[in-house]
Amino acid sequence: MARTIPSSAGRAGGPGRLHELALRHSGIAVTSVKEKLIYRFDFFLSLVITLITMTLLSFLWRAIYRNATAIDLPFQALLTYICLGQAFSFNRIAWPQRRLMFRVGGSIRSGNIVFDLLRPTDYQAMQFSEVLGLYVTEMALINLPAYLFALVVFGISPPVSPVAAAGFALALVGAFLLAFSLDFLLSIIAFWTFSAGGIIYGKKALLDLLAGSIVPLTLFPDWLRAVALVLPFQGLGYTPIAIYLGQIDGAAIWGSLLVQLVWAAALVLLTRLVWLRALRRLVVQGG
Amino acid sequence: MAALRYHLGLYAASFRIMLKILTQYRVDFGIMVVSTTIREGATLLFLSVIFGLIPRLQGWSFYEVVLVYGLIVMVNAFSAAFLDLPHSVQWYVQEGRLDILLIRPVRPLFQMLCEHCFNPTQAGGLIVGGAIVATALARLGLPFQGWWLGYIPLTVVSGAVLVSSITLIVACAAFWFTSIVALLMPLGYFEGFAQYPLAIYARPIPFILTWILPYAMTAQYPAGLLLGKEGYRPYGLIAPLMGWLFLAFALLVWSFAIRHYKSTGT
Amino acid sequence: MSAIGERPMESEAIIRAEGLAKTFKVLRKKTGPLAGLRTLFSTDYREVRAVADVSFAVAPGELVGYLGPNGAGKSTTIKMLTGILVPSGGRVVVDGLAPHRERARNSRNIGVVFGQRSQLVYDLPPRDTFELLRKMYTVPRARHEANLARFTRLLALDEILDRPVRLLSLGERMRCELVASLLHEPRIIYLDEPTIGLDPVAKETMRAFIRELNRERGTTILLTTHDLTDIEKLCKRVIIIDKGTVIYDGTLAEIKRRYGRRRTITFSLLDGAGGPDGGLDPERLAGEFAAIGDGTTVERREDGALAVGFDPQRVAVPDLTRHIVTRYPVADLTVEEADIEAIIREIYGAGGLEVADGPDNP
Repeated sequence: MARTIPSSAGRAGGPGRLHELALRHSGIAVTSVKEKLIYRFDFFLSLVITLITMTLLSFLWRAIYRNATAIDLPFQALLTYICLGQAFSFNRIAWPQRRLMFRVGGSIRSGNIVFDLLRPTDYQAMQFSEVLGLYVTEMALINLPAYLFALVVFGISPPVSPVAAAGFALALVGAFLLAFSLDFLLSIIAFWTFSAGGIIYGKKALLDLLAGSIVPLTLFPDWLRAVALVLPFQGLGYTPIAIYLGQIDGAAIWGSLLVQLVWAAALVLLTRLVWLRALRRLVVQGG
Repeated sequence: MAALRYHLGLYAASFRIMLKILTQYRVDFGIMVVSTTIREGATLLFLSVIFGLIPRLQGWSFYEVVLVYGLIVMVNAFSAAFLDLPHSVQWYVQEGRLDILLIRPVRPLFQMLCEHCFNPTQAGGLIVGGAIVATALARLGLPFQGWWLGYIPLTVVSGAVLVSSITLIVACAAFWFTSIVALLMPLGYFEGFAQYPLAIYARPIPFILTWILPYAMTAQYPAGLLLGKEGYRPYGLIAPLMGWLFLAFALLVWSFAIRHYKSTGT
Repeated sequence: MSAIGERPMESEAIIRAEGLAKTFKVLRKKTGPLAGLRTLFSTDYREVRAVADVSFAVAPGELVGYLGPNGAGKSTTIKMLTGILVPSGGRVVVDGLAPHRERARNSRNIGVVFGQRSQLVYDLPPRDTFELLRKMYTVPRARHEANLARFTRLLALDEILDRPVRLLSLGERMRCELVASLLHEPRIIYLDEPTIGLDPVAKETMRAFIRELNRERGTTILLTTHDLTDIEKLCKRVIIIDKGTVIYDGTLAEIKRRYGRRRTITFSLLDGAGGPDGGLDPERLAGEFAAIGDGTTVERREDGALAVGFDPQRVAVPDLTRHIVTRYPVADLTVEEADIEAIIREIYGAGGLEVADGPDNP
C-alpha cells in the first residue's frame, strides 16, 4: 500500500482531487525535469479550462437574460464583463498559485525552507519575483489568447476609450499585487494543515463571487454589494473590468485605483507580519 | 460466493488499515469544514444572486436548481471519499507502483480500490449535500414519498460510480502519455455544465451531457424525476443504470490498457 | 558465447524462457515550439528492444545470478517472468503457467523483491502489511504465525515488527520486504537488486538468509544484482545478458576457468623518479612487454599506478616482474588474480557498472 496522507481537496469535485494528489505526491513526483514538462503543459491546460468556464458562463447568462424581465445592464456589456472576468482572472488555480503552494507550503513542511532562508535574498521577495515572472507568462499564454478568443468568438466589446484601456492595464497591476499577497498568505496558512487543497478551492469559490468576476457587483443584492465593496477582493475583478467598460470613468478611475492600491499595500504589510511570525515559529520548532 | 467473501474480507482489512493510518495524521477537521462550507456556501450564494434577477431559469426555480446542486455535492463527495482511484492511475503507472500490485493474486484495480477505500476529508460533503437536498425538497413543498428513500441513495452511489468510471476511462491514457492532467482537469470543469438546466445550452452540449460524458445523469435527470419535470422521467429512471454501464466500459478500457503497461519508473 | 555447463532438462525446468522478447514503442520527442503539444499528437514511434532474444531454463532448487550491464534487459526479463509485462515475442513458462496470462495463479507460486519498490504500508508497522498479505494469499493463521516466528528469528526482526515502516532503516526495511515476499511460501523467488544501498553488515545478513532459504527450503531463486560479491557468495550458476540477449550461461567456476587466468601486475614508481608521467607512457610500456610475451595490456589507473594485464601461460610472472623492477624505480608492486568483477567487466566489454538502469526504463 502506498504512502497515503489524508488531505482535503475542499469540494468533492474532480479537479480538486487532482490538486490534492499533486500536493500529496509533490515530494516524489515533481522532479525538476517533470516539473518543466508539467509547467509548460499547465499553461495550455489553464487556457482550456478558462475557455470552458467562459463558455459555460456565457450560456448561463444568455439564459438568465432570456428569463429576466429587466436587468439594468445591456447584454453586450454583461457578456464583455463575464468574458473579461475569466480571461483576466487572478483567481485561477493555475501554475503561479500552485507553485506558491508547492514551494512555500511544501518546503516549510519538508524543512527545506532552511536552505532557502540561508540565501542572501529575502525569501518573500524571491517568491514575489518568481511569481511575477509566472504571471507575465500567464498573461501572454492564457489571458491574451483567451481575450482574443472572446473578441472573435463571443464578439465582446473593446475598451470604451484609450483612457479606459490604460486604466484597465494599471488596475491589472494592482490586482496582481493583491493576488500575490492573498496567495502568499494562504500558502503560509496551508503549511499548518494538510488541507491545503481545500483552502485553495474554498478561496476560489468565495473570491470568484466577491471579486465580482462571475456576477457584476452592480447586479448584486444591495446588502451583498455593500459587503463586497468594503472588502479588498473587488480589486481582483470588478475594478479593472468596470474601468474597461467605462462603468467607472473620469476621476473615479483614480479613486478606485487608489482604493485598490491601499488594499494591496495593507495586504503586503499583513503578509509580511504573518510571514515573520511563521518564521519565528518555524525557528522555534526547528523546521 | 467464496470469491465475494474473499474480496469483502480484503476490503474490510484495507479499511481497517486505512483507519489505522488516519489516526497517525492530524487531519485538520476545523479547516476542512470551514473550507467546504465556504465553497458550497459561495456556490449557493451565487445561485441566490442569479435567482434574485430572475424568477425561473428555463423553467427551473431556485430550489429546484439547488436540489440538483445538492445531489451533485453528494455524488462527488461519495466518489471522492470512497472511489477516488482514477486520479491516482498516473501515479501508479509512472512511479511503477503497479508492479507491486501485479505480483499479487488479486486484480490490480481492486487493490487500488482498497488502497483508496476511504478519504475522511471528503466524506463531509455527503452530510452537507444531504442537508442541501433535504432543505431544497422541504422548501419545494413536495409531499414526501417512500420511494425517495431508495432512489436517492441509489442515485448517489451509481452517480459516484459514473463519475469515477468516466475519470478512470480517461485516466487510462496514463499508460501512454506522461501527463494526463491536461485531460482530467477539463473533465472536472466540464462536469460543472451539468449543474444547470440542459435547456440553456446550444445543440451538441445537452446530447454530450446525456450520452457521451453523461454528467447530467448523476443529478439533473434524477432531480427532474423527483420534481416530475416534463420529459425527465425516462432519463431519471435509467440514470442509475448509466453508472454501472460506464463501469463495465471502464473495466474493458482498463484491461486493454494494462496489457500495454510498460513498467517504467525507478 | 554460450554455456557448456549442465543445463536442466526440459521436463524438470521450473522457469523456462524461449526466445523471449520485449519491444517498447517509444514516442519520439519533438523539439521546438509547442513541442509538448506536438509530442502528444505525434504518431512518430521508435521501437526499443529491451529484450531481443532470451532463452534459459532454471531447475527447481537452483540459485541463479542474472547479470548484465545497465539497460541489458535484466529488469524487463524479470518483469516478464513475474507476469508484470506481456512479452512481445517468445514463450515463458513458470511452474507450468504462462505468467502474464495466469497472473493471479502464478503470483501464488512466486515471491518478488524489488530493491526499488516497496510492498510495505509506509505509515504502519510491517506486521500490518504481513497480516494484509496473509488475507490476500489466504494463508491459515497458525501457519502464518509459524512462518513469521521463523523469519523473525532468522532475520532478527523482534525490534522491527511493530515499528512504523517510515521509521525503519533501509536494511531493516529490506529484511521486511523479503519477509513480505515469502509469507505465502512461494516455490520461486525473484530478487531484483535486493542489496542495493545496504551497508556491508546488512548485505551479509541478507545473503546468509537467501542462502539458507535456498538450502533448507529448496526455494528456486533468481537474483539480479550489481554487487558481484552477492553473486560470488551465493550463486553457482550465472546467466549474463547484454543488449537483450544471453551472452553467457554457465557456472561461475567455468567463467573463472575461462577468463580468470589473466593476472594483473600493478606497480607505482618512487616519487620524483620519472614522476607519474615521467616518460612512462602506457603505450610505450606495452611495446616493451610485447617483447616478453603476447597479450599484455597496460593501463594507467586513477591513482597513477600502472596495471599490466597478462596471461601467465604466455608471459612468465618472474620475467615480467624482473623486467619492471630492473628498469624502473619501483615503489610498490603487487601481483593480483583477476577478481570476478574484473572478469565480468571484461565480458560486458568496456564501461563500468552504474546503479540506475537505462533503457530498461523507456
